[in-house]
Amino acid sequence: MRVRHLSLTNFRLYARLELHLPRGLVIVQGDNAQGKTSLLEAIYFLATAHSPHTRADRQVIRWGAEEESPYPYAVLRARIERNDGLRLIEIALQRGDSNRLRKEIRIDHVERRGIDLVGQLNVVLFLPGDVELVSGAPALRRDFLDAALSQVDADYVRALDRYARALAQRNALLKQAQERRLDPDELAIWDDQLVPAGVEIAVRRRRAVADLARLAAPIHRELSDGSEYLRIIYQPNFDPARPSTLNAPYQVGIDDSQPPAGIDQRDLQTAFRRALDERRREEVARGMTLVGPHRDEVRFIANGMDLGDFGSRGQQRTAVLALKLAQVAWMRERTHEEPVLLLDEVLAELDPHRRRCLLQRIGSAHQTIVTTTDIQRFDRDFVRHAEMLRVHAGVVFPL
Amino acid sequence: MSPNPTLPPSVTRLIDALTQLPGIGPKSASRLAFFLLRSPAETSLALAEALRDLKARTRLCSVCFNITEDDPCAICADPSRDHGLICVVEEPLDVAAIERSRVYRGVYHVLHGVISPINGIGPDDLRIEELVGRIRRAAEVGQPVREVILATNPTVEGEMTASFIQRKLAGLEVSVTRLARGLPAGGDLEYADEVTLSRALEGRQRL
Repeated sequence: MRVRHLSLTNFRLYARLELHLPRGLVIVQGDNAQGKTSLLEAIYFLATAHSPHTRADRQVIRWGAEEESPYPYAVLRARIERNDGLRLIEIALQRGDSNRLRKEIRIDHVERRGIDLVGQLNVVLFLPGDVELVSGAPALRRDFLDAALSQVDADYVRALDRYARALAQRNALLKQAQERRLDPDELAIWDDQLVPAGVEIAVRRRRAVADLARLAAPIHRELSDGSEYLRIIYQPNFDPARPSTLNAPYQVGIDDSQPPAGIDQRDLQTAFRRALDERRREEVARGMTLVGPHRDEVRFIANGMDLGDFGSRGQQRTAVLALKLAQVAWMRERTHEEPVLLLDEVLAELDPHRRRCLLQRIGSAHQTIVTTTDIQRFDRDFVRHAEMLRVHAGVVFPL
Repeated sequence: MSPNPTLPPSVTRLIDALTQLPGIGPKSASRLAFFLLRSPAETSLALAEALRDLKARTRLCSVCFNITEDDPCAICADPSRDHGLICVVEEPLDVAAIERSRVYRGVYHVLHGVISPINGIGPDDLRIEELVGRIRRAAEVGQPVREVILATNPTVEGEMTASFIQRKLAGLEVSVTRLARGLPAGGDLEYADEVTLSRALEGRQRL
């Protein structure tokens, strides 16, 4: 798939933008703070209804828009070309009373819910800070899995939503338990909601990580000149196969890529419930839920070494690149469409060999949009086939 | 918090009072206040009277906790209604909605909310204990409740509240049912979302 036309109103520093985007490679050149990244962010927003950067989506509305209207708004619009035809995605954001952000989503002119956006436009975003996915906090890896799955699996989005609501209510209840005696049924009703949603999340995450690991291994071999073998391992927070190793440190040699044989969703639910029961006293004492997929972990292992803890910066970067390229292949497998690739300044930090590998692999994408401050970084050969755009102060023009 | 210090106190007082209403910001409140200022005096007086009577004349029905002017309320006092059938709803407006359907001949029980720990609302803040007591007492006087219909909203909190009540009624000799969930009448199958459709399929009925 590809984005044929992008239209922005009051998005970041773009007051107005009408941009035709061709097939293949598009290089967007510009100095810092001119609007290169915002262009990629807009496309990501149209795919997911969220910004990859800001937790508060309302920050995407252009600053000046606030002075022009008491209810500032932004509109994003993209015409998408898919295997099954054209589609128009529109997202309107308006800030209303008490700073609430109203999000209106339209697909082919019909108003839809956020969940209907799943699978309409698929993107893989490469960011300069991606290395944190391996070296940073576990929450970043869970966010990555959530974002990747949310683009292709509407049931996952629903389970995540149910889980988040039940978790918030359950945590609030556990805090109250420090002040008043709880009716056991009060906690039980939230467990009834938390457990099936949590199991659904864990099952889908396990499958996704196994698929990503399978696809990433050969890519990683190529990137590391065949010297390293990458494994990506899902460590669910509750595991019926190894209940005694809950919260135990990772052990090399256990293959977690396949669900343990003979274990179905009901076993997982039983294991989850048992784990909750075991830690109830501690949960009340700490006022929060201590078991569940909100505490899952994913680890990256190369040649028996945990890259998150012991890998060099270069090794971590290579693992992330393999993961992101695996995500491209994984999305293709799941959706039978080529995702749109968005690369923000990532080529700069790669050595020539890895850069060549990356460029080769993105060559097969229907559309890749790359930003850079310095066009000299690219091979002449590479640039020749690309459409060149220049961004300056929120205005885009051909170079 | 006066929107404008140059306005007379009687105007700002009304604006401040209106701002306390849900969904009314300072702007809407000013608009309403100035509308009343320009309208004939009768408009304001009628509104003032209606507001005063709202609190002075209404109370909660001691049986079903619906809002009423007479206790017990007209529905609870009606001998032609089926008192062996109780429909449990979140809010008084839900009673009005079900009454409009004109197919329900039982009585009601209004919870006045749903369980939501985030908002600090626990079972004790709702009329759940009263529901259990009501069913117990009915059995003692030989007019047992046969069925309780849980008609809370199909939101996460509504479902959880229904689930909690179900647990509390488990020991009693009463059958507990839940409102069916499925396709809206006059709706189009094509536009129904997956969750609604799958629930409609699960709850299908033999013809």
